[in-house]
Amino acid sequence: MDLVGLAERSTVLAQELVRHGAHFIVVGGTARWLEGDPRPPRDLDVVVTDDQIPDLVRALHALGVEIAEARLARSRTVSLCTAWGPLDVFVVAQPASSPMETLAVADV
Amino acid sequence: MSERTGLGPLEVALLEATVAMQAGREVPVRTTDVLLLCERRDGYGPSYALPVLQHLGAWWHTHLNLFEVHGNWGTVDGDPPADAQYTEVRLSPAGWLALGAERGELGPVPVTLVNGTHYRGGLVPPLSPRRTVELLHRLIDDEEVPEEAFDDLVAFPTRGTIDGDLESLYGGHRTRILLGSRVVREAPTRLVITGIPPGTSVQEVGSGLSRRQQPSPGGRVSRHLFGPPEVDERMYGTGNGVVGIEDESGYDDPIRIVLDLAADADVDAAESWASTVWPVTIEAELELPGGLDTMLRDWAHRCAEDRSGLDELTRLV
Repeated sequence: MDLVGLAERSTVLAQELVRHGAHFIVVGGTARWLEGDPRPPRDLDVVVTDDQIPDLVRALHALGVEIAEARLARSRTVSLCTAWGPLDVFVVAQPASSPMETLAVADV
Repeated sequence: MSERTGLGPLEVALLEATVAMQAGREVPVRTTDVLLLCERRDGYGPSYALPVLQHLGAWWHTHLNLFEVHGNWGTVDGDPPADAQYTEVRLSPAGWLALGAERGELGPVPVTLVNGTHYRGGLVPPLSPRRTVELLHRLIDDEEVPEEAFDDLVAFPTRGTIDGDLESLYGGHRTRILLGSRVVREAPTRLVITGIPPGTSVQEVGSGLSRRQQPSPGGRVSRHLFGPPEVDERMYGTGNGVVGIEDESGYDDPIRIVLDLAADADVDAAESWASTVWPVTIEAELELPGGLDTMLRDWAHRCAEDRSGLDELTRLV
């Protein structure tokens, strides 16, 4: 078994979430790795805005991960376990003129 | 950290408090009473001390359990233990050895060399107890220790596997290591997980496999977005021939997850697929300070002057 193979887990998790309708921005180790950093990521870190929470929660549910929208909205930072590895979700208030959603869809 | 066992002051305080509560008897005592005495004597509050006590009394956390426990102490399945007022503890044979070494009644006993610190969030992995004492005796007796004597020396209580740059790890470098599940081929169409990575549970491993084994509705996303296609194929495979996942763990066999395969399944592909599931395989940073050889020689040196503790531990493991 090789580390590189397992490193794909977090990107596949991102793909699975998008396929199930989630919108987000990938940050942290996975983002660095996708940009060519040689260090394999340990987990997937994603940033969502408040209005993206429902779609993310539905996507997580489709992957067998139960979390309430209210918990994400309240806690703002939540660590979850998925069958593709750990997932950290960061909820931010959407800036007035942010292209966040567009970027998220295009990048993932 | 104690020179005679490698234990920290809280661990020693728990040993002392337990034996004080036992008052010369072999009977177990209420965990709450041990914790309260520990706080009164040494100032460690129960919420600090209880997790340490729990780790040192659970086989899935440490090889050398210093405490024998009665009642619901949690499970390798991830279930939490009962409240301290409903459980009892007493010193185990290894606990008596550790306490004897701490009190100078016995020679040093390498408790922390064997248990490591990973179970409590540290970087040092545990070592096989039997192999460790054998190696220490050989080093004390100045016998030659071949390279292969170190093979499989790092061993976790939940019998998972370790993989990666072991040379770097053994050399004393902080190294990112793969901690995997032990998979046995019991029949041509049956894989059985008999060991899991430390810090995970049978429940989590089984759930992860079940979630990934479900065929994904709605087809696949484009597979050329990230990484080479063959890696994606492994990830997206809906089980690679796995047709059933059963948790057959029980009292006598606490880690047993059975993967039934289709008659025409490629067993290698199925095993490879399973290994990509989290937390069938996880990653962890580990470090053997100074290197494995140095750690062993250091303990051999400590034990050489008075081998009584090491001899007792050898009989025990």
